Amino acid sequence: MSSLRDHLDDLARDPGHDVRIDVEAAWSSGQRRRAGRRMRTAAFGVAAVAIAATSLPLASEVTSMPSSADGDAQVASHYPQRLDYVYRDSSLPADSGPLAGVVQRSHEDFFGSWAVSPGGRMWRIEDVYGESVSISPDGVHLVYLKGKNAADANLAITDQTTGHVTRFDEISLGATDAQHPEPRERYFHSDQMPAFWNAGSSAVFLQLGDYRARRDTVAAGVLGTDGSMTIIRNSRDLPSGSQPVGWFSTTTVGFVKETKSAPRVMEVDVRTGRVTRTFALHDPEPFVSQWYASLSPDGNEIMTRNESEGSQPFRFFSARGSGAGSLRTKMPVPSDLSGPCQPTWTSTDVYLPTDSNTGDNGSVLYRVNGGHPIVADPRLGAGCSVWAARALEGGPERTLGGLLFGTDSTWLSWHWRELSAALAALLAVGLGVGAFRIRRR
Amino acid sequence: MNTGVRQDFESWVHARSQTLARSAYLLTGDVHLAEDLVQETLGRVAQHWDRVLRKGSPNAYAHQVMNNLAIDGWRRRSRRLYEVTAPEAVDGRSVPDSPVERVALRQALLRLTPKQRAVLVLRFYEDYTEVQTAHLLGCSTSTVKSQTRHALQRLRDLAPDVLAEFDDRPEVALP
Repeated sequence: MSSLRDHLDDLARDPGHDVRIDVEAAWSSGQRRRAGRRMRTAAFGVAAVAIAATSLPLASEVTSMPSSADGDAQVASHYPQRLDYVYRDSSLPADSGPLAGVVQRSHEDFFGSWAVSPGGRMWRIEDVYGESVSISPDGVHLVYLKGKNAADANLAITDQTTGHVTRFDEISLGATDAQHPEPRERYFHSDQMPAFWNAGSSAVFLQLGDYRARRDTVAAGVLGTDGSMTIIRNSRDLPSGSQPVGWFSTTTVGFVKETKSAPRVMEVDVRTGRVTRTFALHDPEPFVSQWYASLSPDGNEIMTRNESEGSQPFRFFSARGSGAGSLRTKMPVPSDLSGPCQPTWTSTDVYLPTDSNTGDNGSVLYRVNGGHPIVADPRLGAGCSVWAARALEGGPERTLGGLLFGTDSTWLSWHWRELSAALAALLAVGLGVGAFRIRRR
Repeated sequence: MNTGVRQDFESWVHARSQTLARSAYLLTGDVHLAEDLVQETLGRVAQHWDRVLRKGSPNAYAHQVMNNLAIDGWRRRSRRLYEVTAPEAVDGRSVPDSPVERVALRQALLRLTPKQRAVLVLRFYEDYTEVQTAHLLGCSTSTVKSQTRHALQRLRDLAPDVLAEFDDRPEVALP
């Protein structure tokens, strides 16, 4: 033997003849393997797609499926059932599209207002001063004191579909300093006063003050989304201290004034500034909360609450016809009511904001006719929230989290995305190892 | 899968069966294990026959599969284990007139690691180059070199009479 090859050949020659080979069986085995491999690949693909779909919220913060009403892109047509934890905070884009609501978040690490899309995505509203952000019924407009600090904050209306901002330079918080003992702007609006949008979302009605008025003090203003401003002044029929409650019609607004006996309601024509109708609420409670006194969108009902005593129920009075001012019904105050915070009226319901930090059900909204339609991850620290009426009327957006958990507030319902991501990572590792082993064969 | 493709596979198997069987025997040292190894290898080649045929390298792919199966210990999980034994009976009869050198070489081969056996078979029986061997085994050329060196040293230690006159061969190109 002169080489190793000869040795090996000599060793293997005879046994090699004894090795029986079944070609048929090999071919059949190969075909079975081929079919099985295709099945496994398909199963892996389906699993990967499913897990990727469930993990998507980690990247995009929301998983929203196409909804039937998405064609109407200029109106918030749905609301999110679930507000999931925000992993990556981002600023509200000027042209985010219609919004479903605005949520205040309060935590030891953060505080502020976050806009919420119909699919549940949340953006921080960076340049809001104070606490009060009001959203129009169609979800297109926001009105708030826009500015980083009190000195440069002016009232502004944003259009979230076009990105246009209408600033009202004459309306500010009224901040003064040593150089400016008098406010530079003429009108004053507190960041803790509610705002009332008309049904068409084209104008907002809110309380104003006038620094320079000596006799006819200003009661309120009606600001148009086109930049128009109509001032409503106090008069003998509309005394100082009257507070806005909403819109009776497209041209008239309502005020309520506390008196020693019973609150009085005044209907004022915006075009003339004159009181056209007044009536008293048949209410033994003379005090009316500025946050909860509000008119229904059709102007037929007025809701009040005496906030000075926590247990006092909400009261609903008739606001039309000969029965105007008569008590129609009462409603107990939810134990987890978030306040002070405006209610949201739709054409069929009244919704009250609740504090997700207070209750154990994660709710941020309570429907007077029953139910908690929106829940928030406890880590969000969601408190006061305001919502677009059209969004609430449109029903919940079909999101994966909503389909899986509805309005549950269990640990799993708030951490399923993390679990899905972990599973996806494990699957990816498994696929990688599997692919490596297959390549070796 | 049409009949023509299957016929191609069968023709290839008939042409290569003896080579594969011998390599399998060298890798396993056992006729039954070699049968299983060849059958498993052919099944996997059949599974990817389309692709393998397109690439035009069924021989290389078959050796790659066979050696990786042997190295990965595809039989370790099964009922039979490698054993260093005397020449086994084949179909009830003994290996006829086995020279002493043949027995010694077989036993020495079985004492190598699966990877060392695979390197020796590819390099010195199938005549693959170091680069080709590295490619087939999915390792680096330096690994092939070191495995070859260790394997040959161990063979010389275990079967000094058989390999006393053997020297490392120069690099051989694939025929």
